[in-house]
Amino acid sequence: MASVETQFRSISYIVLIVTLVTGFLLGGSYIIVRQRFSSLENTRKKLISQLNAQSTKESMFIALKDRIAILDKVFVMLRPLATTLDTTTSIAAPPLLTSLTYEDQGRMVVMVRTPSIDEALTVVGAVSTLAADQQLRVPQLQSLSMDKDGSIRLSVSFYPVF
Amino acid sequence: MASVQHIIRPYKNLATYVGIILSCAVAIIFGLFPVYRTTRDLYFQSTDLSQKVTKLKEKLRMLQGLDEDIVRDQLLSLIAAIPQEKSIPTLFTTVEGVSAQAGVTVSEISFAAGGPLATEAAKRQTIEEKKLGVTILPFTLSMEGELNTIRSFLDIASNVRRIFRIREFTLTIPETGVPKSQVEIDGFFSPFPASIADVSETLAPLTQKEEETVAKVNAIPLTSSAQLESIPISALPPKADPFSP
Repeated sequence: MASVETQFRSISYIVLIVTLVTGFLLGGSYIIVRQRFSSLENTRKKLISQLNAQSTKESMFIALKDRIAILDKVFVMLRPLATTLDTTTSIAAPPLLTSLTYEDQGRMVVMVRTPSIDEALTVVGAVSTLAADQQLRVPQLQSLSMDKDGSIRLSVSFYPVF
Repeated sequence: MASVQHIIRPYKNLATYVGIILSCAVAIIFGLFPVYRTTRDLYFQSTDLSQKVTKLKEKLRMLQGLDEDIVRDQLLSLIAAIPQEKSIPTLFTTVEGVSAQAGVTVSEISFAAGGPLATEAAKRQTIEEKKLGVTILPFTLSMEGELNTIRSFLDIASNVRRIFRIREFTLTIPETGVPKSQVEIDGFFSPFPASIADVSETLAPLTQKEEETVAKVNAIPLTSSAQLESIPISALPPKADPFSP
């Protein structure tokens, strides 16, 4: 009986000490963490207040970044058509060149009227040369007809290389 | 009664020790464990809050480092390229300016887009518009002029601050008379973002590539000084949380 009592006494003291020590440690930790949390919360509120004072600048900066992103996308799809016109006139200049059309999908259709078949062949040769130089791609002869006066009407399409 | 006391007395100390152990168990279960849980949760919340505070500090430092006048000028410059609204007058003045510089005669300008009666919300965006993040304002321009002036028009139009895209282009050269051209042009506009992100969202400074884009736009000539309008504050993106102080 006495030995059981001694064992229980030892166990109860150990449990009590462990509980008290753990309690103090936990209590201390809670106070420290709570203080840190409060301090951070105060800092956050102060920073938000300071950021709100900068809200106009922030709005402008966000609008600026948004517009830059849009412009980057728009710049990619812009095409320098003046150089395409130069390419076309190098194939056939007026008065041989009668019309040209740059289509939505990027295809250029050129209508040429030449007084003879030889000049028509020169035009076709010029298109082939430019295609070989990779200044244009997918050249196609769309139509070829001869008028009563012997002049040749020629329609050529290609995709300019930008 | 005396007999009961006689039976209990030998267990008095033992009962005290068992009572201490049970009290400690109760204190652990109902006291220490909840405190531990609260402390742990508070610790994790503090860690999250610490990260947020760090982000806010970085954001504030970044914003404080920005010169508001420079940001405003950069934004104005970019708005001149792609305005936040249709801005038909600047479209007209730009076309006028480009045609005058090139030396072509504009015979007609017609807008194909729905009139101003339709609200932007009611208008459905095309796939291309969604991809680009803009609303396209298509119009057709008919003009006359010598081939070199038409070439000049195409050249200047592709390098003017109110940005255009020439979608389709037809040139007819008659045997006698002046060449005529019809140009399908897309103008662009894009409203400001509907709202700014949450205050805790990070805000990166302009990258080298973004700076280059701004410089590229600044290098594009304006056809009219009237293109640089002031930015109304109401047009800027509103705060994410309108109730925040």
